[in-house]
Amino acid sequence: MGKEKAELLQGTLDLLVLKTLETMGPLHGWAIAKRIEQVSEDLLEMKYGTLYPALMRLERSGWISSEWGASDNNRRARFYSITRLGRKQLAREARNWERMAAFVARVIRGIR
Amino acid sequence: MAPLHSLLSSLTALFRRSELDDRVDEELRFHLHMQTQENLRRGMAPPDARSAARRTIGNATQVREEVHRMNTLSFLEETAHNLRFSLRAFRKNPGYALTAVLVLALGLGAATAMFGALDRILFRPLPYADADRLVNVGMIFPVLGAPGQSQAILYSLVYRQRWKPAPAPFAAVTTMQNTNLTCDVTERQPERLRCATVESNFLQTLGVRPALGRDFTPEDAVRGAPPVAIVSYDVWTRRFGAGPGAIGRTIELNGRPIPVIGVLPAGFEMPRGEADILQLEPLDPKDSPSAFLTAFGRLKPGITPDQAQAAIAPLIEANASEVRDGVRVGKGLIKSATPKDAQPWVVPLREYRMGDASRLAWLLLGAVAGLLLIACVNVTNLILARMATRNREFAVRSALGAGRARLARLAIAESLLLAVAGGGLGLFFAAALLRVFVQLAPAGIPEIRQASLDLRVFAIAAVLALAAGAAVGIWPALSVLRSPALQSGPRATAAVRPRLRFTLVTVQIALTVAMLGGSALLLRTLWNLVAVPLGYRSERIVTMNVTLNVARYPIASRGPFFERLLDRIREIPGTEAAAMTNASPPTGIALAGMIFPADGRPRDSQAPGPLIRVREVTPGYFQIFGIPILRGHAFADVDRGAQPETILSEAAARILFPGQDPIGHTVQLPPTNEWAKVVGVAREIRNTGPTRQPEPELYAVWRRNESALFSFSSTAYFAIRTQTRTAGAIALLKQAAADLDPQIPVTVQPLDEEVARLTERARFVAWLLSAFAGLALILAAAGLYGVASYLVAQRTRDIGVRMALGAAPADISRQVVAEAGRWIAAGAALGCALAWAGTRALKAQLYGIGSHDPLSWIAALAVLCAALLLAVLRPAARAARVDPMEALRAD
Repeated sequence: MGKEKAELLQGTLDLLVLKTLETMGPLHGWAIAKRIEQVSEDLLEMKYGTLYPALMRLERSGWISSEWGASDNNRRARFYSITRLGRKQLAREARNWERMAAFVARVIRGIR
Repeated sequence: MAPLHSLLSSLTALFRRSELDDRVDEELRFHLHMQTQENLRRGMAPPDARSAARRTIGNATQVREEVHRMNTLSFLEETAHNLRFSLRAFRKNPGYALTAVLVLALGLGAATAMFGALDRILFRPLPYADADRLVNVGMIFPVLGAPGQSQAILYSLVYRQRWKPAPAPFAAVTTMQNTNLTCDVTERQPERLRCATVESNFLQTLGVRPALGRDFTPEDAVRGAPPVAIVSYDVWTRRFGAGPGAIGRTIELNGRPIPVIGVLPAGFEMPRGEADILQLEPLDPKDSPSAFLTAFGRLKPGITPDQAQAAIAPLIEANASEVRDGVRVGKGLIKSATPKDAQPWVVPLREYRMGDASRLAWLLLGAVAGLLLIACVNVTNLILARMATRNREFAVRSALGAGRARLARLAIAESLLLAVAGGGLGLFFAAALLRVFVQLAPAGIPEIRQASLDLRVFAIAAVLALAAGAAVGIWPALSVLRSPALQSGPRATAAVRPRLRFTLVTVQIALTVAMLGGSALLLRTLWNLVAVPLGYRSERIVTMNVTLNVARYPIASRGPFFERLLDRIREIPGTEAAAMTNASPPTGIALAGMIFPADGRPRDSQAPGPLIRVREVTPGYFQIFGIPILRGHAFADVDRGAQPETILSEAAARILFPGQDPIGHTVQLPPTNEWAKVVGVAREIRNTGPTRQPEPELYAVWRRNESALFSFSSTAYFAIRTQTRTAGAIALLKQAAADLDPQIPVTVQPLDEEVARLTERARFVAWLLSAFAGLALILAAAGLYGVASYLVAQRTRDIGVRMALGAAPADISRQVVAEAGRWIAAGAALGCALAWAGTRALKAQLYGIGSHDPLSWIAALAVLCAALLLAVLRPAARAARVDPMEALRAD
């Protein structure tokens, strides 16, 4: 694992989770983590200790909901899905993020 | 929407913690399983796969905690947990908890009781609308006493008219005549009430509306209008059954039925004194030309009493010169010598009501605050000491994942719990203490008898308890936050630096010094007061006063009645001698002073000079009180009824006949203007109490069957010297009065008690402050003992080493005592500095000594040092007994 891991930017985790759930439909926690790692081409490592508190927080805010279900290997797992409020929040956060990313990119290019 | 949602889920989570924990655990297991599976797929051996998975997950407990904190009202729950935990800890160490709670209960209880007692004097709003705009207004006469001792008055009804309309700074001015005058209800259920006469705008100016009926109107006060009365709520309930029909009915006062027009609201209070019935004072000066009126003003908004006082100065001066020249009232001419040095006077109503009691109240409040502070410091020290022993526990907690903030919160929760328990217990203590206060309080402290623990006092008690809890918890909490021990593990012992604890002990000692010094000063004052020779004897003397019902006893019948009673008293077995006078003997004010023309000279109205008190006495008076006649002779019984005669006190003789022997000269006595011969000069007595210079006094003989000077008075005083103890005489005297007229109220009292009352206030203050100082000393000694013991325990190893190296046990003890001595000295020095500045507040309470009286302070320091050295004796002895072998082997 000699690869350099990227740090998760503050506040981006919610965005990633919501986007993943929006594209993939209901997923359990493990699958969310794996999906994010996969999309990031293993640049990000989703730790349990980071992901689960975030899931709780999102659920508490009413942006995702959860229910028990059976996983592929037939174990009991908690499946999360995005809510209507969550979609709105995702749209807002995505816009924010794009503006922010564009701005940061401009600044960095400017410095160079 | 979202916040509501999260609040709801938080609330449900609070009650479903275990369910939530299960869910987190299950997800954790699932996650672990999936990670292990993946590791296996990557080709790891099964045990490696599992442990690698566990590593990626990290500290599961922390995750659980984090999730949990996020999902609950964690503050509430944590607090509940902290409190539960604290209770458990206290159960394990009840001695510590009990001590802390008791000490806090002591401090909080004393503070609560004191607040309850003094609230009315200092803080509680007066029962009037916009009471801070109400003032006592008028003039004071320095010859009648220092400002504050003499109340501001408007000289007479003449003045009242001159003050209409109200002068510029006032929205309104109103007056009342003396309150506490008695009047008798002469219909069914006769009783004696207190009646006051007021101006028609009195209630309106105070901002008080009758609870029932109507207020006085100017029409009621027109000359010749039928008299009307407003009755107190109490009288309304007692005599009229609290019915609305009371309005329009009459109450027969002094033989005259008066219609009731209104009822005062419950809880109404006169600005000073008490009244059951309000009636209108006469409007026309002719009806009562020389009455003294007390005036109250309502200031216009934004005007201060000082501004008002400056503004009325010309008015007062004009009034004064007018009266000096004489004011024509009907056919008479009112002329007075006194207003020459009249001064304007405007003080806030609260100050007028409370007088110098507020200074005393602040002093007591300061003392009790000091005691509370000492109690808090003591408990802080106790908690710090316990923290030191719990260092290991805190280290373990921190290692198990408790954050520092969390530990600090735990410490605060513990102290708050102690304070709340202390405050609760303190309330019981306060209730008991307040009862003692009210019992012991001298008559000079106004309104203390109404003091009680009501909601307002409870609220203060709660605030005090919480503040005390925060105060005693803050240092321990901070010491947890800063403690290096949490990092260095269970072996470390320096969690609490002894420096802090010693500083706290120093503060305690300093406060104790100030309180001890103060109480030493007050005790010496009391000693001085008791030692003042009063100039008369009080043992085996009983005084009795009798006030006749003015309706049943017309003026002409009063003298003969009193004579009959005097004869009757003389017949009582055990009576050695009895005399009669018309003013409370021997200290009561006979009458506001008068100026007496001597030897045919006219009255000099331009030179007011000192006033002379006057009283009429029957011949036995001087002998009973043991007042020596220095020249001439006492009145002889045969003289009564013949020529008017007087005896002067030394000072009166000096004023009236400077440089001459007054015997044989004459003095003109009002109101008959007879010339009375001076037959003797009597020794001065302390007729205004032990602390004030004697005032000149003139004694006139009370001629048989008629009191010339005070013929209008319905009250007479009797002084009886008994052969035996006074207790038995009291019942016989009451019986003698009842034999003549069973309805007249009499008051009988041993003179000893009255004399004791002169020093009552000093006794009360000295007693109270000494009690506080004693408690403070005990707490300070306990605090020092605790710290010294801790220090010795902590240094057992060092001491062992030193002993092993040859130090003698005596050296070790000496070192401990010397160290404590340094802190005592520091505290004492700080305390003296504090007291040097602070005892100025005491000055008004002292007599015969200054507030820096060296003897008092030396005594205070000696007591302090003795008690504190005693407190370190045991720790010092324990240090000397340390066994070097054991000390070195341990730990």
